[in-house]
Amino acid sequence: MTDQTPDSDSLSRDRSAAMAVADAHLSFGWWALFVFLMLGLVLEALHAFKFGYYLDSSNETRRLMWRLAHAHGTLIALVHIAFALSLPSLLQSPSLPPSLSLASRCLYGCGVLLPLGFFLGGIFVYGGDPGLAVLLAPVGALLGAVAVFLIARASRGASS
Amino acid sequence: MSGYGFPLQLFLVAMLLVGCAALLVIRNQGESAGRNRVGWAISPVQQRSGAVLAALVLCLGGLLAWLGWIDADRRITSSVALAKEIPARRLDTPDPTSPEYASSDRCQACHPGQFASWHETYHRTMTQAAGTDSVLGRFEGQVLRARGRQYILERRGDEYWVEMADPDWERDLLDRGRRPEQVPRPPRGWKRIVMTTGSHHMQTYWVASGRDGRLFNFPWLWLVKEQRWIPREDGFIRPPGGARTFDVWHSACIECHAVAGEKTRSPAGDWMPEAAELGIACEGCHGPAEEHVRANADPLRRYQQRLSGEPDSTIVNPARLDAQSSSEVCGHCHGMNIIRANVLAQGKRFRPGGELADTRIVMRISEGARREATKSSLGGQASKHASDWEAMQHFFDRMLDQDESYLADRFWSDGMIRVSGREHNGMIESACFQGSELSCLTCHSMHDADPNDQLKASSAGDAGCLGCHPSLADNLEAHTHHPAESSGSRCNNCHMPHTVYGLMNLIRSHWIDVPSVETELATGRPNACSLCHLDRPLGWAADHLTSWYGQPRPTLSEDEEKVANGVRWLLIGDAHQRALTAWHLGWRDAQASWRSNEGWDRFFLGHLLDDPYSAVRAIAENSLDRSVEDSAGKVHTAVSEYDFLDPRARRRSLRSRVMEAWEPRRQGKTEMQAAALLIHGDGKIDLPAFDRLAASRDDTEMDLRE
Repeated sequence: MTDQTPDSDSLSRDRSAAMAVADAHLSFGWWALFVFLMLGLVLEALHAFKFGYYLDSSNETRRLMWRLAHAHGTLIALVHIAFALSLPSLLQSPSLPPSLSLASRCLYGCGVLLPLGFFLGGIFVYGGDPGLAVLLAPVGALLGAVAVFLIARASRGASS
Repeated sequence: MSGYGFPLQLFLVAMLLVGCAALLVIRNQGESAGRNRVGWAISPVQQRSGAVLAALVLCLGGLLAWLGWIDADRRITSSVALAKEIPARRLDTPDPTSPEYASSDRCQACHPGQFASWHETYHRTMTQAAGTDSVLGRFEGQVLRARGRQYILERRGDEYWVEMADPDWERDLLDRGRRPEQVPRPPRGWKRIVMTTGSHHMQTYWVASGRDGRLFNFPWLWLVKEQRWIPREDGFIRPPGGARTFDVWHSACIECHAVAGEKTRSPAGDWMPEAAELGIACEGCHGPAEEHVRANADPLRRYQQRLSGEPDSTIVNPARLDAQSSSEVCGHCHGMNIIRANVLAQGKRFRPGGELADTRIVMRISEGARREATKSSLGGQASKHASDWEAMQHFFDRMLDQDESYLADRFWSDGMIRVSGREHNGMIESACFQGSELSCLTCHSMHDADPNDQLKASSAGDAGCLGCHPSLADNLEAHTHHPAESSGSRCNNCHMPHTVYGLMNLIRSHWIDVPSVETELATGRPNACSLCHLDRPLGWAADHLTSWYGQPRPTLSEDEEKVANGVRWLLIGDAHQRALTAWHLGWRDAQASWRSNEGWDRFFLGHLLDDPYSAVRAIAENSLDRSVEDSAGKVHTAVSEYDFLDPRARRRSLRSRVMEAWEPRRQGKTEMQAAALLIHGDGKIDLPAFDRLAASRDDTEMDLRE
């Protein structure tokens, strides 16, 4: 057993908190990746069994929305994993700065709202226009943009 | 590229960039030799996971980008885009004073389903710029000869060329009243095929004038199913040996085979055909759409419109119009109309949703139309009906002065249409249209139908009729006197038979009426009963119509009482009557009614293999093909060697072989049935009777104007 000073305790707590954030993103990322790869499998099955609800030309908007949900969901899952892996490099001190904490929350928002907006928007479509639930997508996209901006800014600080 | 291809590719590029970023991050981590700035340990497993992840992202991004690129390449190319390839044409410049057109390309984004279903139709491909996507004919190494002219066809990469007599020179001769094909050694040259017409049954081609914007027809037809060329004149019921046709696109075709087609003259006096879009595109039926597109660029308006369920005032939807107006949208092209004299001067055109009568008088020569007009004038009102009727009579008088068969080449004597493309004129004579809500859209749709005839799935079979006549559905057999599932119980077969000729085929009359022997006697148009029961005399049909429906029985001649109606019309009829009888002999629905007498049709169809009219011969050949397709033997061999464009001597020889090879089968037939088919008791053909009837063939010159 090793003795620890109060400073090293605090450092360790901060480090644990940051690690917890990274772990949560890693876990969210992999699970989201699993979910959206599954969605990909479902979409492939819809192709395989020629489901008109998905494939008919009159349902092109639904097909597009669900493909976008699948693609964005997968991409954002990867971004979560990348964030988790790169978080240690982004930290200039053991504690998680507020900007990265906000980035983390925005990234979660993006990871849920963007694919969900596309998916729900594809359930009820009006010709070439998706359902109103698609409004969630731009909100999610905005959160994603904020998160990426904050992370990019933090990475510049880290490299300097 | 249009639609969603572009944003999708941007997205894929973004994925690639993220992959690159991930790689860089992992590389940085690798450089720190297992430990980062804040002292966290990076395990080798984490490093490897990161590298694999980055590589995965890159591969996935690359694959999707490639698929996206392929997809973009396969996207629909619009006829507007193709139109730009036509040299020296101004087809994409609508008249600046006319309403604005947007083109079908811009409809796709909001109406993908409707765009796709229209894209499947032959309406879209009615007129196309010539290219590898549109040209169906074989051009490689083809030399075509007909009516004293030779045509050398060639494909040069993506272009199609023909070496032919100079069409400008030929047109000049024609304008001076001479028949160009009779002038030997014309000036010749290579002309590029710039445009195509048709894609369903046949396709024809156009070459450009060397002087102005006119497009001249390359006078050959490519038959799509048969995969062969035939001279254009042989695809129509025209007098045998008649003159070559010299069609110019802007003289008539441009009106309906393009959106907002107009023939105009340049300031220098040259003809300049103009159209908003080639083919029958979205705005052909929905009207000019620029305002609609502009208004609906606003997403708030769009969602408000979608959710309200109300019609959009910026566009016409024929499905929301009343029966007359929606039918006029189709009828302004699928009909014969007289363009009002003042229309050309005022530049006023029919627009979907408008009233056809404002710009055109729909041709009607039926007794019903005459009564309508007379009633209006007797009422003391200067009604539109009466004045239109008068204007139409003047028009007919003028046309009949120039061509005494003007009406006979277009209508049966009771006013029923005779040639295809006039379906509106037929339908408006129907009691179902005049007294009810019947419209073209009752049975047809551009978006929910088989492109073959644009017949709606929901109106398939008898559904279109039984929707308004539900009581008949409960006991169909009591009405039809035929088994419910048989072709004799199909509404259309009795009330809208195939009596209209078009494109080497027969189509339905579109005038919903009742089978009547009296009408047949008055007009010469075979009645619906006899068009199935071709092996029965007219008297037999009269007996049944009398006993089943109480129709008065007219007095008939001996031949009408005794000789099978199919045999009679085939031997004594005019070219149209022979064509429609020959067609019905190859019609599966009709063949079902003479199963026990099979084989007799081959003898009589064989007789038509030497008919003077090439279109009649072609139809007889097709019917014979169908009749012998499942059998072998001499008839089959002779038919397979036959070509309706063969020289006369060969045709006669093959005709004899077919007729001689016929083996009579009398089993199952009574003596009277056999006699109706001119078959003796010994099973041989009654040649004197056959010759007597054949000698009385109606050789009145027919020139059915499709």
